[in-house]
Amino acid sequence: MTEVKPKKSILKDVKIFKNLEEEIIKTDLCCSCGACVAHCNAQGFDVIKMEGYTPQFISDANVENCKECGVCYYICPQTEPLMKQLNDEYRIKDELGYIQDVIAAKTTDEKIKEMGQDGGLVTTLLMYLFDKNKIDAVIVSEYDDKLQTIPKIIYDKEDLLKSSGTRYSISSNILPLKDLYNIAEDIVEKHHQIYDINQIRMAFVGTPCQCRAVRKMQLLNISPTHVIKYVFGLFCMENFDHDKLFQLIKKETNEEPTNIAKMNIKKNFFITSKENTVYEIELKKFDDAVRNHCHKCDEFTSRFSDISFGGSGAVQKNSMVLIRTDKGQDLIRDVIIAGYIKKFTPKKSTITKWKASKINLLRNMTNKKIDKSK
Amino acid sequence: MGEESKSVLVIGAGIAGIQSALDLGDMGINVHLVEKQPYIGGRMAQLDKTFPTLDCSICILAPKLSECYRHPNITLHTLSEVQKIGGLVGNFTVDVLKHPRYVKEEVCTNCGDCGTICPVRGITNFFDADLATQAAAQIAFPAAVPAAYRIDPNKCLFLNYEICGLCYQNCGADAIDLMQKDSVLTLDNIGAIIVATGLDLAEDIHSLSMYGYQKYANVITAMELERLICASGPQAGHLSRLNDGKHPRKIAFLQCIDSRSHQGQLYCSSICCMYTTKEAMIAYEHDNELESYVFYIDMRAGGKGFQKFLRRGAEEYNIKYIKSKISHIEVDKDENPIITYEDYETSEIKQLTVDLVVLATCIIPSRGINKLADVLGIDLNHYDYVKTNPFLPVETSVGGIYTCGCAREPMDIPRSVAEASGAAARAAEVIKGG
Repeated sequence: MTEVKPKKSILKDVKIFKNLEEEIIKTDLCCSCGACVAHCNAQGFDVIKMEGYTPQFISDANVENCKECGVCYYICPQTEPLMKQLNDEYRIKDELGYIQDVIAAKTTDEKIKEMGQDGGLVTTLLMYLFDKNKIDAVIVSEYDDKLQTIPKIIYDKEDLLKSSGTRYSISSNILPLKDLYNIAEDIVEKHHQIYDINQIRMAFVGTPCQCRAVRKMQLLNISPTHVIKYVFGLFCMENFDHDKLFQLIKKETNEEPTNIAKMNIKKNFFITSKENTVYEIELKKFDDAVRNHCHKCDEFTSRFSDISFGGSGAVQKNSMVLIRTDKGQDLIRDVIIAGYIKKFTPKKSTITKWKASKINLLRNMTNKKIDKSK
Repeated sequence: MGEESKSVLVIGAGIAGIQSALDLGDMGINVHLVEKQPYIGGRMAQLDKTFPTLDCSICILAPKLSECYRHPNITLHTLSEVQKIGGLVGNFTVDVLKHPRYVKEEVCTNCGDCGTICPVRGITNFFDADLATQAAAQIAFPAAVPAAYRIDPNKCLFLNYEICGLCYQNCGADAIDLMQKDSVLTLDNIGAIIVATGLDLAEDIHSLSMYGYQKYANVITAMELERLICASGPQAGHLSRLNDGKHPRKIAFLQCIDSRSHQGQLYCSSICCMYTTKEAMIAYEHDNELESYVFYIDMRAGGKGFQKFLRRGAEEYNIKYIKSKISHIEVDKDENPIITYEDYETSEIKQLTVDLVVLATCIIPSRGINKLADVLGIDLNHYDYVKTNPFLPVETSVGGIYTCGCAREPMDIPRSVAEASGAAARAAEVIKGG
């Protein structure tokens, strides 16, 4: 194949990766979800890669390989195309998005209770989906030994606990799917019920921007996100740049990343070292480490998920749960019946009021974020 | 214009329509064969084997498909629908709406490069009973006729968003034409019309939820089993359960699903007793330790050699026939279906745990038949099959319009073919002057 054919195209004025680079990546609006690279690589094209948290051409020579199909620009969660269709599809009319029901709940699993963030719900739901054979894999993030957040596809529920709890620096959660067709053989070999890699069923856990990217891709039915069956969104006020965050933590606490056991944001930033020393630091002090695109973001509760989870507004040791789709509703109902999670039940007479107050709280928090971004 | 230049319109290119077209073509009569799917062959092409001979279905059908495609007297219109009709017997005028394939049929080499590069994935394939997926640039099965890809206009990124265009870029034969539009073709001088629109299946319109279908992975329909066990199907012929990939050792076949029932269709679907026995036999040939249980109400196998076929099933293929009525289906913790039924022999309520349940779903009229009947002005009976006189089985209520196969009542392949030849003979009378 040495013959170089001139590119033929029927497209007119299509924005391609070069435009994405100019408009989003170079202006620091990229949320590093990895959607563009995951799609392009899964297509088998030798054009772009993820360098750290930045999508870029593999080299100057690879620029020529770009097929100029324009899909990367379309699916980027930070660009305009498809947003109208997406809002219609997910019935989004306001800052909170469509909410079928709002509940608070916690896990009944003792182990997860210890490891999880608030109610330990996401881990428990994934556990249930694995147990009931409703998914074959899930894409989550976990820490490596330097507390760098890395995305990972997990095939066994035994590996789930490692990804329990919250991480505050971003990871490119869609990126691991770039290898979907490379790992196909292993998966088909191991999981006999999957005879077609396109039919592997995955769950996805991510921030609002990542969920938005997945939904944009799903609206187009494109690879590799067509395998995602459940989208679990996380409440997200802002996300930190890993290096900057740990420089600041070092400055404030004198602890190395390797010596930190747990981090938690509850009004202030709580950092627990491996020696069990707890530091409480004002959140404001970390403002410099917040990623730039988070300043422009208008989502807090993950509008495009099946179910959104977060600690905000929940009573002690519970998580708040926003159910957004029928699929999400069915899942929550089944999980409660199966006894994996326990729903927090306010008094019957106050339940409507309780729900309204929780929605109100989340609305205020979202608006606070939007105001800040202005 | 001489009588000889008149042609016949055949609607539906399943085995019945194809047989009519071939018969007429061989008589020297011009035929327009209209099919709404992108491929011809219909339901028979989906089957693994045929009863009562257990011949490979596509092996019998494929030569007919290519003969039909190559026949000098047959003009094939795929992705087409009959939209309007005028005139009377001997001289109809018909408008055919042709939907675009977006691939030039005569240029496409069927290499598959467009399907490989197409970024759209996970579109379920109707031909594989939705058990396999494909791209937006797709072909229903490898032996499809015409042997040309097709682009799904609902999913294609270019047709919906004006991006991508990778198939156009990648096609070595320059066969992709994304600018094609709907077109109306007017056919004059049509002497006679044959309606061979065939069948759909109960699962196409009903959820069958009372049998746990789509709730339990190990409750499947007969057509799904047909695809799973087929060598060119999604599991390449290695029958395994959809939830855990295990080979089933005990299969239950449930008869009269949605037929002979006030909840579904009131009539008998006519072929299920036989196709169930056939499927149990094929499954046994894949695995000689297999036990099959057929839960039936009445055994209705009227046809040449059919009773012998059932007896062979019981004697040689380890099939146990249980005259019974199904109450309901549950699953145990490994998702093995548990069937609760009343045994008619003893009038006892019993339970049986199996690995796989296969629902013998009933034939229903093709879902487009009401619209087509309106266009053609033909009467349907109260089940929505084409109304015919018992003594003139291929004649509809309109002169010059004939019918055959499952368009008029549920029937098996040999009978469909026989009727197709009958309808072709009556149509030929009109053309040649009877």
